[in-house]
Amino acid sequence: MLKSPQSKRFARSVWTAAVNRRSGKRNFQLTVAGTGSLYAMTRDAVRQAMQTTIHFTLNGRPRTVTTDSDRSLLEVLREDLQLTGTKYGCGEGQCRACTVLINGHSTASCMTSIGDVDQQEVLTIEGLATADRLHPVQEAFLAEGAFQCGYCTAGMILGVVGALKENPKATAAEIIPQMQRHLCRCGSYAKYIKAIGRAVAQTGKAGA
Amino acid sequence: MKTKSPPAPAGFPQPDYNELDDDELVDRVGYDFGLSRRSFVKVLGAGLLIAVSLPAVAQEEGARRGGGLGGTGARTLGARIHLGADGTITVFAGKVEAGQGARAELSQSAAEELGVPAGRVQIILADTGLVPDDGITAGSGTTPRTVPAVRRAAAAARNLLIEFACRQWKVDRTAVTMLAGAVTHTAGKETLTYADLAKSDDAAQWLAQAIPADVELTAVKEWKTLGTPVFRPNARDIVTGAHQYPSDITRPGMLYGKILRPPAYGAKLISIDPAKAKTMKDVVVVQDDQFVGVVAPNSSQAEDALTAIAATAKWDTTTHSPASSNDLFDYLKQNAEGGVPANPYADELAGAKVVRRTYQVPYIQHAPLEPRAAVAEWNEGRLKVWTGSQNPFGCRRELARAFHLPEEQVRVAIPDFGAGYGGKHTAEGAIEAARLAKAAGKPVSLRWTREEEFTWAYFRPAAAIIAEASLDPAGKIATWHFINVNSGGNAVDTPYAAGKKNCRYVPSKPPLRHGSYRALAATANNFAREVFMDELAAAAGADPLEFRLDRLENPRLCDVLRKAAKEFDWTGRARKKDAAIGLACGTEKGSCVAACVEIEIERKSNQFKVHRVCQAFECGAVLNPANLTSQIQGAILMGLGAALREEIQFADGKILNASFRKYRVPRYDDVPELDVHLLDRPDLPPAGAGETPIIAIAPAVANAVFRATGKSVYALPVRLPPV
Repeated sequence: MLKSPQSKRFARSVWTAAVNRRSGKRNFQLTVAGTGSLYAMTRDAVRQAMQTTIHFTLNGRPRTVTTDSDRSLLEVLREDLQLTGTKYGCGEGQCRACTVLINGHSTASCMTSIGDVDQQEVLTIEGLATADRLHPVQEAFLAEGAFQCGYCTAGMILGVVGALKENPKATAAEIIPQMQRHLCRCGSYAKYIKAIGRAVAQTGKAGA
Repeated sequence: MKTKSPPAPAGFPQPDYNELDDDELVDRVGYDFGLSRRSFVKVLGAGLLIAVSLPAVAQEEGARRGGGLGGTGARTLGARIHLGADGTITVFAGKVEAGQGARAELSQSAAEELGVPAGRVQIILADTGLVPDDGITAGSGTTPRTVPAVRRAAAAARNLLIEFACRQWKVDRTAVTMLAGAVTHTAGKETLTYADLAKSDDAAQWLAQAIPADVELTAVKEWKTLGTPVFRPNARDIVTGAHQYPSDITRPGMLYGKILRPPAYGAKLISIDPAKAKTMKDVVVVQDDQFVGVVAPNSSQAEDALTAIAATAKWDTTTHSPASSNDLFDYLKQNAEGGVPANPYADELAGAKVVRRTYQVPYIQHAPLEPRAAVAEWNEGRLKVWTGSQNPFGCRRELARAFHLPEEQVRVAIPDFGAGYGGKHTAEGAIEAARLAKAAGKPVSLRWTREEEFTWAYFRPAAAIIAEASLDPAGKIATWHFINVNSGGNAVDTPYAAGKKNCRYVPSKPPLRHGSYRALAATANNFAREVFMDELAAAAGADPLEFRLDRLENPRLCDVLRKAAKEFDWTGRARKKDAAIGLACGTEKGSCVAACVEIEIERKSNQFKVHRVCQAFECGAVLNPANLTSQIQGAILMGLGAALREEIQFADGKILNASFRKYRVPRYDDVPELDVHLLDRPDLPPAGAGETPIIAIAPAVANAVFRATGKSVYALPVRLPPV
């Protein structure tokens, strides 16, 4: 069982390494992190070394942060960059309230280290609408009143946007299974399903 | 009924229940900082007791004003409604918005009586510095108590505008018409608005008046805004991520906190060595008896400091309850206060058809997606806290008590938060943040982790329920004996006719911290009773629908049951011998629900899936059909979670499944075909609807399993009998 933050962060780097392997990006953290016990022993030293400057694109603009590169993207977005639309729900990728798009892919930001987005493109809920115009998926969720407490909504919306980026012709029936990890404790799924249907229809129209 | 709260499990300080007047079943964390406990009771206990306890008369008056459940309501019109000279209209209410729809419903209520569109009304909720105390947001109380209070205030303001206009124009009431928030002089072309009223010399004096109790409200058939689907006023901020939940609140110079938790319930802290954590850059370590926490400039640094402390912590873990989730129900029965009551009709059972069952309802966790969160800020001895709680004024009381402050020096603001479902009635997170902020001398944000929320937030109480009934030769229920051990008295009484009834709740000795839940014990009692009713119907050789309809005494409940059965085609489907269908009904908090479900059993894996749910619901006059449908759909899904999988596992004082990985809540693939039917009853006063729609689904699922397998179901979550 993963108990200490060190081991949690270690797990995060393993997880993102797996993700990045898929996307062809090298992960330098694994070589630094090594095994759990070595990691714990050299933690303080490693930490100093890990005050890294990370350059990435955030909501279409270049951003630079200098911090412990092992911190989660979620934490840095919320605490350092004041982008609180991305929510913490579980810290282990099980609820997807923390969903952001990295290079267009729907990703759990709680399981992604800030170091891993170096030179990458990150989109959060704050970057989805343009000026006064909502994204069609936001429009659809708003039109259906598809949430109750709304805490999972930003993640839901980005999950659908990500699915539509992967396949702009996806049907609602194809998208919904991809949303399985997105948790709505209020149980607003029926209205979310309607909203996804509406979003697909709107996107289809916009694309036509 | 005043429920005596059981002792909290150790690991949290022992609360003093007598000092908190909230009339509900919830284990509070009795944090107490500043003075030693003994001197506190001696020096300040009595004084505070007077400050928080209102005399009975004031309580009754509070209920009329819209307070209720501890609230005093608005003493004056101005405390409820502010009319701006620029035409803005602001309504103040002590209720919270946690996704249940209070914000939309209250804006509709005010708009209806003011004669303006709902969008014209701004609602300020749950900031103790600004709003009247409308009590806790619980027990489906907003609709029956706060909605009428807001409507009365709005109607009084409308009447003021009309009187003001008549006085200005020196005409009587028949010479003016009220339309879209403006009064028009029928003869001339003049109009006056709420802005004009606000600018008048006498406005302040009028708004200082008490709200008349007998003000006439708009009749249901005249409703323009109430009764229509209105979405949440801040919906746009939800889809853009702009809305700030309690965990999103940021203050200048704010730090992030973490609390040291015991390794098990009941564990006592013996010692820590904070030396290493204290050497960490920008870290503050706070220790106050059993309370240990850290603050740092970001969460990772706080986590590192806490880990360093945790590695040195010595605990006495010998004091946890001996119970585990494996022997929980025997434990609860063995520890029932005064023993489990015997069936008083035992002598009358000879020769009758008798059915006996014991039902088991486990601990479950509300698991709101936003865990407990609070930001606390001290300023010259005054404390302000932003937090996610259903009980703003209750939080203020708890904070004032913990820090030995007069309540006026504490302000609690509740931003619309990430849900509660009865799980956020208390202030422990707020108190912890405030204690850290006090030590740090800076604002502190404390956000519980998912694991903390699963472990240290309170649970829905577990229950052992004993049911025993006898049928006379005609199939009538002759005697009915129904005992809830540990979880509460909601819906413990039966709505079915019985010759003799003995329905009771008996407290026990809960091994875990427990408290309220959506519909609280009605989920457990309705489950047991409705499953037991199918057993009785089987014993009588009757169809479960007919068996119920023949014995129900409440015509509203009959109506919803008939409606659900008709829409589901119960009678048609029930002709098929192997139909895997079940139904259940129930009434609680003035509303009625019935559900029919169809399940599909997969023989190979011996698992089942709920395919279709048809639910009928009636809560008097419908105020907002869109929100009501959301509440019903959500309650069905939440109830399905409890029916299918949710169960807290624990042993040796440790929660064994404190994550969404191990505690599976409903997800997209669990969503059945949902067929929801609202029965609008404009002739009846509206009842709250956040809770009752949850109580029928679990027993309906269990009854479908019973019907399909022929094997009795005794427990939640419902499992198929082993093959």
